[in-house]
Amino acid sequence: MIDKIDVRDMTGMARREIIPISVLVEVCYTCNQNCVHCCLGSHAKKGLRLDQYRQLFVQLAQAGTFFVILTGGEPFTRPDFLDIVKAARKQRLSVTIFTNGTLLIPSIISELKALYVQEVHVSIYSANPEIHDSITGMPGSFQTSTDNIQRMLDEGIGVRIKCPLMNRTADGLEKLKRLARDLGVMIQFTNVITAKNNGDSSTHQLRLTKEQLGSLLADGEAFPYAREPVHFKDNMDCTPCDTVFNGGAIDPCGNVYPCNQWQVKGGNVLETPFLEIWRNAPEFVELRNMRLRHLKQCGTCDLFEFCSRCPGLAMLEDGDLCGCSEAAKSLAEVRRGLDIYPTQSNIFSKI
Amino acid sequence: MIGTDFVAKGINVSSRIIGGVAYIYMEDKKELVQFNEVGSFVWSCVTGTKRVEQIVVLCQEQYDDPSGQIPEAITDFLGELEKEGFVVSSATEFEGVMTND
Repeated sequence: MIDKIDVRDMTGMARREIIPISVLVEVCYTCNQNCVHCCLGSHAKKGLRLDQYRQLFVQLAQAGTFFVILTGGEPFTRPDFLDIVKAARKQRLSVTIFTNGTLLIPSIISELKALYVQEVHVSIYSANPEIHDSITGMPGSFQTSTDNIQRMLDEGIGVRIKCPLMNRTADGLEKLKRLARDLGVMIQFTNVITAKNNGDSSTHQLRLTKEQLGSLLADGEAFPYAREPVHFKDNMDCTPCDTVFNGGAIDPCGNVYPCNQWQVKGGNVLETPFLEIWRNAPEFVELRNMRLRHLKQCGTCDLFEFCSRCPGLAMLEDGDLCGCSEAAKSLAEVRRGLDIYPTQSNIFSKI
Repeated sequence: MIGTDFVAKGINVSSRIIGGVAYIYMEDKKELVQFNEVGSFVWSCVTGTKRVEQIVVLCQEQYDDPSGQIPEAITDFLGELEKEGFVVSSATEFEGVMTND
């Protein structure tokens, strides 16, 4: 009666059935750090009330959501954040938390253990405490975050380090990998430093240079790649991204998007039930009808097989949902130079 | 576990029933499973407010059982679920802090 399955079986089913199986919920934009690369244009939004989150999680459960990612801002700046986690767990949602890890006092860690959160992802930017602290704008933050990672591990809580690499941290990749090994946690790197969600692109100056990208992308441990293309032009009837089928994101005001990087608003959960927005919002229906062949340049681009274009970023940074993403193009050029290809998981679209 | 025990889902599990199929993630074991049709029906009955014998009756109402195997099969299945940590049992009704799917 019981079959072990892979999470991809579930996300594939969700994609076919248009079930928002994994939803990201931003519970606030407030933060106790001031990171140089932050994608938020403003930290003013404090999030919905606890009772509204309780209602929201009931609605998510009814919609078939299985996984929720709770993030901010810094979610632990909310005094009631653990109650929000409890409300999600009460609906048997599998909870992952994105945090900077600095506000995790021992009693909070014990509660997280008791609530069986799936994983806590902690942002660490460098294995050099001074560099990390210079990025967060918070002296002592490296020590506090890594101490709390260790405390969570001691409690048996699953922890992962998340690390967006920047031009000032790229040469510390090996030390970061060693730090993760020493702590005994997985580390997940990204080369993506996005514009702020208000369109401010000043963060782009922090991005890796092409030379740095060339060196880093060749490291298959840090940035998994494929040796053969998995993304072919004869698949132009595929969708540019799955998240509008099986994802979803809700901002601190209750606005619903396909993803927190794909700023097409389908509605607001304070006005319309989540499932109705997810299934019927004309904006989302239109996005679901988008196919690769609708993208203006992709069909004739000789970088196509090397490209891991994100439609949300193309819209946010280049102003055109169907146009070329300069950031993706730049990355694709580096991959072509290395004769490597994006993996299925970093293309995202259904092939 | 005996017939008069109440059965509840463990606090360590995340779960959802989608299209009649129960998907369950064991947060402590980091293991994702799905149940077949009968298993999913049983899972939907595990609310903390029903006894093993009540779940057996619900299964008998739901499925034909000409050979009379349901009571033993369902009781064994629930016992297996308890052994594997999916459910817990108690002589008294659960308060039901996490009963939703």
